Amino acid sequence: MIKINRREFLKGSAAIGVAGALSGTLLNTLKPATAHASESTATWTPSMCLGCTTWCSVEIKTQTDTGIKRAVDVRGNQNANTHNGYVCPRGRMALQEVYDADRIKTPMKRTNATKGRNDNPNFVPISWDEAMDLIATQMLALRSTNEGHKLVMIRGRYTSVQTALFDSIYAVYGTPNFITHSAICAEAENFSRQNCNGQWGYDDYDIDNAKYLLLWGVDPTSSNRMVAGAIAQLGARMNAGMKVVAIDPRLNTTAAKAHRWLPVKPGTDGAMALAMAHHILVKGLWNKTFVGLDDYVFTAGSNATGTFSEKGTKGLVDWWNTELKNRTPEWAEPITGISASTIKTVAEEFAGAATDDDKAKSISWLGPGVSMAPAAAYSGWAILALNGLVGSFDHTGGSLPNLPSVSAYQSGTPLTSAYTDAVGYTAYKKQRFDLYATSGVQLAMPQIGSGIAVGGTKSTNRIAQNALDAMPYACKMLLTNHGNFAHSCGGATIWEQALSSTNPNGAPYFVFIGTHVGETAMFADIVLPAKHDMLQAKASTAQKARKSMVHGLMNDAVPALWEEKTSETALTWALASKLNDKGYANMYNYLKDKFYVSGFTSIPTNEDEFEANVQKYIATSGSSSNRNTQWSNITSTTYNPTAYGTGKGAGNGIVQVTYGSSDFDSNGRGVMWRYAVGDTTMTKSFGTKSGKIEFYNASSKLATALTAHKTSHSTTYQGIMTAINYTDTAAGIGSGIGDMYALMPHWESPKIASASGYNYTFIDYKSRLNREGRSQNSPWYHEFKSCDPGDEKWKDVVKINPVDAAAIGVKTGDTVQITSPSNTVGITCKVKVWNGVRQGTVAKAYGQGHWATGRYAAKTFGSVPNGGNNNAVIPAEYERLSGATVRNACTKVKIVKV
Amino acid sequence: MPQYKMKIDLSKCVGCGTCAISCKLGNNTPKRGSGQTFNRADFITETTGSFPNTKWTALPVNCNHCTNPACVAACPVAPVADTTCEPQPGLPSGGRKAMYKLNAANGGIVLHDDSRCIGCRLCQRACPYSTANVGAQRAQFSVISYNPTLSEPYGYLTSSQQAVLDCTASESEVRDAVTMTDIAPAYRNSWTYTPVTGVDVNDLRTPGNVEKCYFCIHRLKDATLGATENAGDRRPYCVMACPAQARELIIDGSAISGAKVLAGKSYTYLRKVVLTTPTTTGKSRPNVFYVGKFSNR
Repeated sequence: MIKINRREFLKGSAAIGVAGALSGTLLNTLKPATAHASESTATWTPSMCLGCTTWCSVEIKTQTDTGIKRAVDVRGNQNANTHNGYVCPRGRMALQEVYDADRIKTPMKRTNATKGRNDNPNFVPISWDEAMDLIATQMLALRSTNEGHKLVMIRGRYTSVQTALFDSIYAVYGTPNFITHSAICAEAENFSRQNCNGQWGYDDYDIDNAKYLLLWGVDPTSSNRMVAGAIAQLGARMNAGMKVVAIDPRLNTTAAKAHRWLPVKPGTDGAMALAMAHHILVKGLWNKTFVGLDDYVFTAGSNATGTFSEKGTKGLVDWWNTELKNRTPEWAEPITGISASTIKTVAEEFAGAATDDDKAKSISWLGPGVSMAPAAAYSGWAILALNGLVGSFDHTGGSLPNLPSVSAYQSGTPLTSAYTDAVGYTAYKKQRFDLYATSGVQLAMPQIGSGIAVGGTKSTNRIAQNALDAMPYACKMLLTNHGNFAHSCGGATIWEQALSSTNPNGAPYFVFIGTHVGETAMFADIVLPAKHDMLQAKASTAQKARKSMVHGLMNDAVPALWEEKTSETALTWALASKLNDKGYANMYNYLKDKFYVSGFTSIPTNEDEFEANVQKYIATSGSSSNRNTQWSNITSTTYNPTAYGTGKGAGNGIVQVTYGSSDFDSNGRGVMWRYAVGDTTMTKSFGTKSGKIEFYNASSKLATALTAHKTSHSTTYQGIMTAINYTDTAAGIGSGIGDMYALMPHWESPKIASASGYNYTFIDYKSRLNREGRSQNSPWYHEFKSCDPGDEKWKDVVKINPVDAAAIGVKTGDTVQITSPSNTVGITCKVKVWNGVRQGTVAKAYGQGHWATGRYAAKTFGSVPNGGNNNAVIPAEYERLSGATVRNACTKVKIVKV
Repeated sequence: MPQYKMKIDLSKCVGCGTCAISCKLGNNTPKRGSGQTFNRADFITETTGSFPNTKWTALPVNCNHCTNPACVAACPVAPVADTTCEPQPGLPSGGRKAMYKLNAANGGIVLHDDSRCIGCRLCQRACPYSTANVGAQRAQFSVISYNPTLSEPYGYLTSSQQAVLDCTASESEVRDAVTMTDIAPAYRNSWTYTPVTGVDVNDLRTPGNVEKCYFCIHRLKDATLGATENAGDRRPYCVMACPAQARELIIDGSAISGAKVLAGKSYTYLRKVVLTTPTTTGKSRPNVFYVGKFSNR
């Protein structure tokens, strides 16, 4: 604050003259009176942070001294077991987001009909009423011509109440095109995990009790799904003797602290995992209590011999005889760049504990760095399979797929069927837009999802190309919520082309919902301002960590400053109301009726009541009496750790269910583990077809899916594998091994699209300050960017090994252009010469390179990016079994000094 | 009450920067500018070794609250008698300059009195852990930052620039929207600190003042935040926020075993180019202690 008074004048004079001559006493008499509120007026409100996929339970501190309730601090929910009551740096950064000077204040409308990267949209502010009228008119026009399916919706970040927005349009209005962002997140990792332990989803990792962490393409203290908890535990656990080995081509944060950093060549993690499995078996180090095969002998190059049966796993001998017996550490050395002796040492450390129960406290932790790469599904499976060998799935100190559930305190989407009319249903049943139109092309993208579902994942990044191709049909209207896909998807420029007037099939009528005018919004027809999920909206979500599952409320701790609405609820109500005004009442009636529970919620009469209703409905379950009890418990300001019995608790904005001691036996074995060794008192089993950890199963879920895909495309397993660029798998099948090769973890070499002159492999990673793609307009992001190893404050740098830097002729601080075969215009950023990457590879954090979004994110809003967007040089390529977009595409790039 | 010390356990630290962000938030320090970071708590990083034997380390830093503080010695403002402070020439019972040190009986925190500072920056030149211009001197950190005379510390928050005309907000509109009449961030942590001596420790900066870490004395002494000093919410922001619990404030005088202080080599990468020589004679004797190793390699 600047208040020019006599004191300031004196101080200015003093600074010019000789200091020290002034009497402090004199100045002190001029001290201005202070009139601020005491900090003691502050209060804490529980909420959930959506800054990354950890979804921490948090508390938000507010003050009211200015007359408006303001958010002034964030901390971890003091009662949540998941993260010790702390948050990572992202938590507090939310405050610079919510009070960002570039927030969208009002609905806005494009007035320049021409859409393109260099075309100013000439947005003008409009009222919500006008905005809803324009959108409703478009939606009803599509219905009138039976083209409702040509409305494509994509959700970016979402909460559990997203059901109100997306499901009501999807299943009532009628369109098959409710596309989630999961395929640009980590769907390929889910696919690998499902093949191994049957879980479509993410395991919890019991760091509190683990003795060995083997981290593959994951940096748990920076990103992934338990950041604050991992930060809280890592150092203390290492001090207590836990060993940590980080396998990552880039020196990441956890690697910097680890006992070993193994900078594997990009895309070759699978070879190292196979060699480790080989060595563990040769040395007889597997967990015999869990696996069985006690008397088996595994000799390199020979088939296994023995008589004992296999217990908790399935197909180990087939896996060995078919694949592992020749995958020696010596074989892996030239592929991975990691010496055979190191691979052996790590294998022996990982599986070498004296007792089987201690072996089961080693975790092989699979991250998206491995999975989200072309043809990486089998590598991911091989890495997870190591947990099977040591028995660490569902074991204390291991990788926990079986988690306590909070589903008893949550509701899903209310039934829509009574509200869907014939027009809506016809549109709803149309071909989904992210699938290719013709069977011959779809062969190349099975998109196998949960269970055995071919086409079961939604390939987010296909939307742009399919909109350009009008396949399977034209996309006439696009609605996105909290997504910036022209920045966050590999091959980002395809999104710009699809949304531009130059799209040969016409740019869709585009409705963008968000907090900032991001790059994608610059192509929108209508931009709608959203409240900040964590601080201004009523919603809920659930997440797990540290053997606890937390279901928590997001609360409107502070009011909106402008005209924003809660995107998933209040906005939906406004839209449905407008559709109702125009004669289409079904959506409105659905929203009005179905979140109403007699005796619990009231029939909403406005959007605020609706928002409150949906939160209460989704965050509770069962009868109105149950719901009232649950709601009263979860909203209580005190926390009751036994509200629902042992290991459960509610209050302070959360319901928390925690593993109790009865969930593990005295040796730390979880219920699925015990079932696997024949404890007939246990009824649970892993989610695989056999109920066991699968290395090979001829009738696995994957076999069912691939067979269905094969049949519908009149081809063979080999034909599928050839079409999806799993060329080593196809060759293996053709070599005489047969189809079984596609049903076990095996070596599939990285698929690198190279071209002459593109000599460096590009490594993408996530900044630990990324609140996904939405925090780069925060000054703190830039001020503390050096917390990412090798990165620098207020810069976007590409890290280059000193040998390569000399060859290219660049030094730290130089500006370079990075191009790839898929983008010869490329991006520009600064150079950091750094020893944390190997020769031949370069690394750069995802996050920066915005050319819109705001004053700190862009150099010049609307035109000049600040740094470079990795996704502009990464191609739109896929891990095709799951349909996931591969940000770790082993992209080959060219680097030129500019 | 003995000298307060801070213990930073590098074996727990993961270099995430939460301490630095939390300090910036809680103490409402301005955005970097004029060669000043205004980061009272921060971290410095270093990469050493050649691939693949590469090490990256982070080192959390803040004011060392030295036993023999060069900044206090250099402060030219005439001391006033104050028995809560360390002695000054002619004031054997204690004297308070603009930059001053509480005596050990009062915790030994090195404090700065905004109302008496004349903005000469001699303290910044004298402090071995500070630098006059972090950009020019390629320093990662400076304990003491300076808010230039007659320049609004939060001047960037007065901008009325809108990214999309009439559609997106501006800095001044955000402040208006939360009725923040002072030029301060909308998320300003409003607090007051009123010790018996009437020392001016404020939540916002004024021009022509230096600023530095106070060990969040306003929190330590605010009984409304909790029952025990340095417990729960009364801990300094950086201590309270650290998700690794690597930072700890020691207020009971207990010894810190195996501790090192920021000196020697560390000094050079705080300030790559040393323009001035510390003006004090003798060692500064920092009271921030480091234990453990960041890396296990």
